[in-house]
Amino acid sequence: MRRQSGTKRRLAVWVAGLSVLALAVAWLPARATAGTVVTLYTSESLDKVNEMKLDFEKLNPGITLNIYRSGTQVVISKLQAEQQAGGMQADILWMADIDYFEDLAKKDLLLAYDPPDTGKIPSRFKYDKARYHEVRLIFNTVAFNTLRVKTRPASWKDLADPKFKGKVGVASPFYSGAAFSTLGTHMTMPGFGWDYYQKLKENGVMVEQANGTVAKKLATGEFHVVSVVDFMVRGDKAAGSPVDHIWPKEGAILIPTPFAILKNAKNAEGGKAFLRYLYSLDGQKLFVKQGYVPVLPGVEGPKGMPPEKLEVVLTDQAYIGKHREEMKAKYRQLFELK
Amino acid sequence: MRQASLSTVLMGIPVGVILLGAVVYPSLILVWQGFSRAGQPTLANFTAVLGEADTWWVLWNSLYVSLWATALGGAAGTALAFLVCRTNLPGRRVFRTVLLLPYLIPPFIGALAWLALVGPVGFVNQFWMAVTGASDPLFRIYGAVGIILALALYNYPLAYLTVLASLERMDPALEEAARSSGATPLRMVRDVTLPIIAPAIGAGAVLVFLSSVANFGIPAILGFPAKYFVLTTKIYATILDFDRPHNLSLAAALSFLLVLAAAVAMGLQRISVRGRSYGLTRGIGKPTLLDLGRWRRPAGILVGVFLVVTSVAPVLAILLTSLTRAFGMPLGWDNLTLRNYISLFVMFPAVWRSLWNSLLLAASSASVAIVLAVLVAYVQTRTGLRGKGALEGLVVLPFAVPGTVVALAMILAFLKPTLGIALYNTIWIILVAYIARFLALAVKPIVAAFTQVHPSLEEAARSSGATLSRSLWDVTVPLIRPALVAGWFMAAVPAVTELTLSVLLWSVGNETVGVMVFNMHEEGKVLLSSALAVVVMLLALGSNLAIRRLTGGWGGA
Repeated sequence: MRRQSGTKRRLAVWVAGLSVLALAVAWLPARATAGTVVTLYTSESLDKVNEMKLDFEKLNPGITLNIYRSGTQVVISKLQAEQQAGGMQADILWMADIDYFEDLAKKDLLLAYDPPDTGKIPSRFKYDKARYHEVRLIFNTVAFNTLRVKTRPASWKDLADPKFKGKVGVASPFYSGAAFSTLGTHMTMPGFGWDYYQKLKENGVMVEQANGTVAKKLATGEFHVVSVVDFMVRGDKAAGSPVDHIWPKEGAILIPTPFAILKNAKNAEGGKAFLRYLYSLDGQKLFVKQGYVPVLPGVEGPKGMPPEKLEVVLTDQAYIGKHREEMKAKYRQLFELK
Repeated sequence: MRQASLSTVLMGIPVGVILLGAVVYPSLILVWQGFSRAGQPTLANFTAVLGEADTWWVLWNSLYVSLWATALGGAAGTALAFLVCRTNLPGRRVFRTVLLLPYLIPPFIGALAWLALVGPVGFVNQFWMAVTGASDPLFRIYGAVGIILALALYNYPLAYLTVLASLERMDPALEEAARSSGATPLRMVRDVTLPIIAPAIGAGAVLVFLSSVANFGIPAILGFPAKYFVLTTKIYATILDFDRPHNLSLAAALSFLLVLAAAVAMGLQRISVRGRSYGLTRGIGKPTLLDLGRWRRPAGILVGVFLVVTSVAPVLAILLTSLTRAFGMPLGWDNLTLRNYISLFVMFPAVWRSLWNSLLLAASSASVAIVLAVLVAYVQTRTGLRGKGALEGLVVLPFAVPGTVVALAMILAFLKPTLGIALYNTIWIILVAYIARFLALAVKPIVAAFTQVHPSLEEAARSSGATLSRSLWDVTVPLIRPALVAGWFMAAVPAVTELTLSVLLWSVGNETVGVMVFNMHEEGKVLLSSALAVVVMLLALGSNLAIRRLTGGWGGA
């Protein structure tokens, strides 16, 4: 009765093979989560924040940084769902919606922490008594495909130029916090406002979800000009893609991307360690390597760093906070489903 | 005898608990959520949803793409099944199996592969633009047309398999009778073969429709960029839109529309095949093959080209994309690299974690499902219990309704801690969802095996003094072991590359590999997502080959 038939033997081989596979995976270093785990919810570029995680973990043995990454609005949705479910699971937050941080700070949900030895960091980057922090700077700018566009654009208005009709891309303010800040800032810029967006629509602008998608489609030539965050374009350019960005004459738009530690974080100490790292020379240097503009004075910026005279249009938080829902509704009506 | 009934009860407990917790409770909560707001019964969600023009567009989109996909996929599947089974098509033996390839690739991965081939900057359009100097791509894959083609392509095997099975079971004597009465081959096909396989064509078409209307991955990947929503993607977007008041209730109301669309299709099919099954005894002797004559070679080439275009080219395209160094630069040796794979597996611990999570979830949900399946099959085949029909319904329900609806029900049921257990944001909620979803797949082969084992064997054990559970585990289970293994794989394999449920249920540290690919794609990390998609494709092909070896067929088909 114990005789094994061919099929049975094959079956045994398969089961054994799968078990070996399972074991192999189980033994992978990634599973070894010794020490403490600190959980980050972020809208940062996955590959970039992953690079930071590896560097941070190397410098802080025993701490594992777990990352939940999605678009700003999706991350906020997730947090809202978790609040309904009985508490946020994140320890630290880092995303492009300063309005949301302001709101959390008002509800006293953020932990004030001013890391030691960071006196050189300008205090304007430590918002609301160091409840949330700007750890490096990103700008929204106009970028173009160098193979398809011969004359370098100069202005935000070039996105509405009919010669680019159907070849213009932007990120969705319903997904990307940077896109939302840009929308809000355009509203308050003289000569822009909804008229500008109406013109963009008439120019057949494509609303993508993420900045990453916009940057990718710019590189491939699907888009000729786009509105996108600056560091992605510099990164793609460095990798060899035919793209470049300008500093628009009206000014690039600074996108606040605050970092904060939640007051009731399970691992606030781990969060503090990560903030210390982000402000440290190591962290700031990695930012520069990734193409971001550092906040620590004395650290040399990346190639293509804003020229001295660059006119930066700061995001008008008061306006955005007040007109949030109205802008969303109007934008939805203008660009979404028929 | 007292002991026996006690063990029956003991055996019933896990089935009852799991079915109550994973199916009954979430279903009830879903219905309640649809018909209530803030704990008060109301029809407000429906009036809100149905009063919105958007909803009707989305419903129309769902039906439009699914019906087109059904027509195209059904026609292709039927024609191909007839060609490989009933004609002297050259290479039909090879085609027969290879035509199933799209069935083995998870649809969302297929959609990514199609993007790499005919997306706005896919290889075909790049080539077209380079050759003609045009600045506009040849194809616009985003939107209805792309979704229809992808749905038809990844679902035609359902029609193909159904028709193939029917053609094989058909009694060749009927055809011979027609031939010997002087009918031409074409006449025979028209008057004998087609009417006989008509119910199978209908059943295949309904399967294609159900699978299309329930699909999430394809419309998510090909629809979002064009702002083209179908019901599944609209429900997904509504669930994530926590800014909107009552978003979960509205999503519940929308999900009823989706279930309704599926139910109507199933009902129509039931009505249309009622009392129409003839000549489907497994025929003795070989049917005569229709001679294609001078069309033989062109037909062979046509099927070959169909295969290359639909199965080989997209896979090659995504493979090449995953080997690209800088996006946007022309293809060439110096633009090829393994860097994407290296960074995937060296740089991203999360990738390994997601692979592990997917394998672990698949293995554990299949193991739980198989134990449940044995108990369910026992009740189905060996007892005259009155609730049998309801039991079957509970097992089939989570598999019959679209996955997005199952995920929503899970969120609603487990968002807040239930009986002190918090499942939301843990891996357990995905596990519960997988058990509910894939149980039906495990039950099917086991019920079949039970009916083949005569109850007298168990009765002999019982009369020799064995308890019920003893007779079951010592006599029946060893006899049906191959079915257990088959059932385990049937439940585990689709779970490995699952996306629809996990994309709504995942949390940090608990991501599945499908979610990982989807998120990388959403973020625009094409090179990384392509590389991981290739890995998932290999995983899917490998595990499906395992099933094939173990069951000697394509399982259930």
